[in-house]
Amino acid sequence: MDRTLSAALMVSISYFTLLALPGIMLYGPLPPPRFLETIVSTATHSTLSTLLVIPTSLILGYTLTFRTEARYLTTLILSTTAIPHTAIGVLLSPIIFNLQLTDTSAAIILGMFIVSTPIGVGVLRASFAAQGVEMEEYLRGMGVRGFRILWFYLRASPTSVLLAALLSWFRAFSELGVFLIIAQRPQTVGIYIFEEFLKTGPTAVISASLILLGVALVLTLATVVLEGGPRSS
Amino acid sequence: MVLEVRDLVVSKGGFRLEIKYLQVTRKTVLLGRNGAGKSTLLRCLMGFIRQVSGLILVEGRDISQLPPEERPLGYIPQRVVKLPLAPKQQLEFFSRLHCGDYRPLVSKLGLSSLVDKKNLSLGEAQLLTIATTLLKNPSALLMDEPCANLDWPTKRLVLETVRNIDVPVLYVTHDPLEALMIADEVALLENGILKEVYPNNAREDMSGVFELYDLYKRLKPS
Repeated sequence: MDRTLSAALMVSISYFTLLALPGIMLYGPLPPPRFLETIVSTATHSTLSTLLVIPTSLILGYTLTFRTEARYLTTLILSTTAIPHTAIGVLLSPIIFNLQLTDTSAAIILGMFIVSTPIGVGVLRASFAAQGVEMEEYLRGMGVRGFRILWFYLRASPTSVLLAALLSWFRAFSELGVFLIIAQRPQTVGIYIFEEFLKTGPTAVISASLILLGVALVLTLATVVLEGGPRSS
Repeated sequence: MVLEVRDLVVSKGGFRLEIKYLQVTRKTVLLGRNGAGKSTLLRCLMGFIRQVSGLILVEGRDISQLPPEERPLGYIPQRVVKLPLAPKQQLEFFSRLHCGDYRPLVSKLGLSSLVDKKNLSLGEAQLLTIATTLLKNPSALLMDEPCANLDWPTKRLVLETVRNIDVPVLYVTHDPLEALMIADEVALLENGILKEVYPNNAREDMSGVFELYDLYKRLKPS
């Protein structure tokens, strides 16, 4: 491992340790019993959402990079990052209520999909743009069409696809706003912490928050390693 | 005529390209300064940019309404294309796609040593791209400054390979030396307008070198 990468990892670990210390010292590190179940449930939903986000992001990322006429859609897709997620929940609510999907796994996955797709699209679009239009034009000139071109880009950028999946997964995992409106059950970690905090204050949820900090640390480390490693794109 | 361009007008972001007439039957070099419209012409011939008007004929058939995938032309872009496949895989893939066999072609071009290599240099990758493109059996080959990023010995190797190709080539460059080395004729492009097409006499008669340099010097920057 090169020195810059080691230094980046050390800085990340130190930062999260410093962030966690006051909470541990005040309230102790043990998580409440139901919390781990909530984590497993949220992780499962995040995984299902990511399985939908990645193919969608590949197609959208490719289209937005190489099709001039589709570039205007970028604003539309990325706009969900600028709207408070409670508002996204409100906008989704007519559909969710009419289809009777309130408080279901389907609503959670839909919410996660909407908030994490811009992340996946953003990462893959940047990766495709960095590879340049030449490969796409060359392949089209050689008679290669549609999904086969996408397959070439996929092969050319496995690190970026992995990074897009990782970031989308964690974005889905950390969602709260949308679920406050359309799906408070099955309980996700965001909802759990919010409800417990309202009931009993910070004491009950500080250890849960510390665990989530650990999860964020894993994300940071994985991102640092992926970005610091040999780039195929 | 293999490739013919008639009354072609392309408009792109305030830039206008006008080609009254151009034919490519041998090795034609399109020579012009930066921004003259050389790459725009190639990208239009390939269908990546739509023309405002005019005809693009390949063996007498107008291809100007066809998508890039269906145009019977080979295209080598300015930046060296490194596909995410090993050289052998790449040649096999495109052989399958175009129902051909890469072995005789690679052997004819003297590139057999590249097939089993794992990592290719920029020059080797460009030679592989040329071989791969020929697997399509294009009616003509469009090359956009294929030697732009190569050192001199590699450049010579690529130029010799281009000279040995049996297919008509429209070769874009801003380098008169490259033009002299491979051209049967040189088309001068200035500010989006095709000025004239000159036969390249330099290979038989050294006075042609001075003639071409003199012509080149007269080209105005865009």
